[in-house]
Amino acid sequence: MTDSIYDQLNAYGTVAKQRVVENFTGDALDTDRWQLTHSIGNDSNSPNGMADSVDGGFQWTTHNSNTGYYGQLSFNGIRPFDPVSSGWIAVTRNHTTTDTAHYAGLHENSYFMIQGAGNETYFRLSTRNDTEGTGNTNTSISSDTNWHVWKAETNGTTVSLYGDGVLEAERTAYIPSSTTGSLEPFFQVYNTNGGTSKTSSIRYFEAYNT
Amino acid sequence: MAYKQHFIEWFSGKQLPSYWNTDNITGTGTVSMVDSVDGGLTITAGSGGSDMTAIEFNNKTQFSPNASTCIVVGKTTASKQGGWGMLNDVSAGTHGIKTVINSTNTDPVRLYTADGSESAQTASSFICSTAQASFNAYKMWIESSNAYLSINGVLEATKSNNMPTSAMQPFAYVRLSSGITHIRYMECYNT
Repeated sequence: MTDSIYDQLNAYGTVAKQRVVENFTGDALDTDRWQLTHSIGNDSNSPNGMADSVDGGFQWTTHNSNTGYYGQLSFNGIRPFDPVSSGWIAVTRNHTTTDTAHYAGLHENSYFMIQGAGNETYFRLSTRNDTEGTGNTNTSISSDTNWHVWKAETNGTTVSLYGDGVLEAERTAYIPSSTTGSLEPFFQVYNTNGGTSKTSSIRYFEAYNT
Repeated sequence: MAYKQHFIEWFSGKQLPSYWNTDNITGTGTVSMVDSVDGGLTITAGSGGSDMTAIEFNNKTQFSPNASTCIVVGKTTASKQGGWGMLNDVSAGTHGIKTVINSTNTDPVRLYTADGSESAQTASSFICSTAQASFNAYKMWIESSNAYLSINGVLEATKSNNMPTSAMQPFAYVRLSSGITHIRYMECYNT
């Protein structure tokens, strides 16, 4: 039996590519790794930060009822992930179904990510190629408040999204390409239509080049 | 069997985590995450001719001198020196196991071991210019009386003299003016 995580993740003799694994567990967000940005005034809102609950992960609440208010995690412009040969896994949830959206995936000017989509009926695979355009493809998973595990991979031709272990959506148009730049991890909660402040959570994120 | 100390660093994020200490052994270098695909972290030496900068655990030595493993994916720049492994005292270079990529590009990559007063090396068949040209996977491990280095899964060097006898910490370093060591993965564990 090997004692090495490396040997479990990589075929024998191969050179590992970039990877990150975040468990969102501890006293506070790892701010060496993550850049937290948000709309003005968000520091005083709650629940924000690491959740004091079983399987709670990290949660963020938008500042108030304003449309477009958000909280977001990123690598602050450090983009080690390949736009045409990479994947990510995220475990996320919305806390309400009305006017609450969250996004998780790999992002920069172009992206491929899950959209926990505000007042949309279903979660969606959302992709963008910043020289071509943006598109969304619905999954069959209703936009609810449950935790879901999302996994997406791109090979530069097709982006495939799995929801709770099932292939739910594929996109071949408006996806990141080798000319659109490298990508960084991204999670955002977003108030799509005013009302009250909105909360979303994430308790696992992994990204890797393939 | 009880779980032993195990450390994994992905070198992914906006900056080097604070559990690493930047050790400017000679001159003042820099460390930064790289904004490019598979870029990992760079450690850059100062501009002085013999400047040397390392990252280490500020002398928290949690790894066994006779039963441990260190895996690194890294590379260095041509005509500069760099390497990685585990040492008790990084500044003094004592009690440890390390891989060194030399500034002479035609030299072999070498496995070093060090006791409290002396270090010694064994050459691999892997040439430094190859180690500078691209990332490779280096695995160093110590058993009771031997130390080993494999590169990309091939056993390249074995040593049995000047073995460490004091506990060790992970480290990576660069030496010589404005040299750069690139590292995107490190794993250390006791066996």
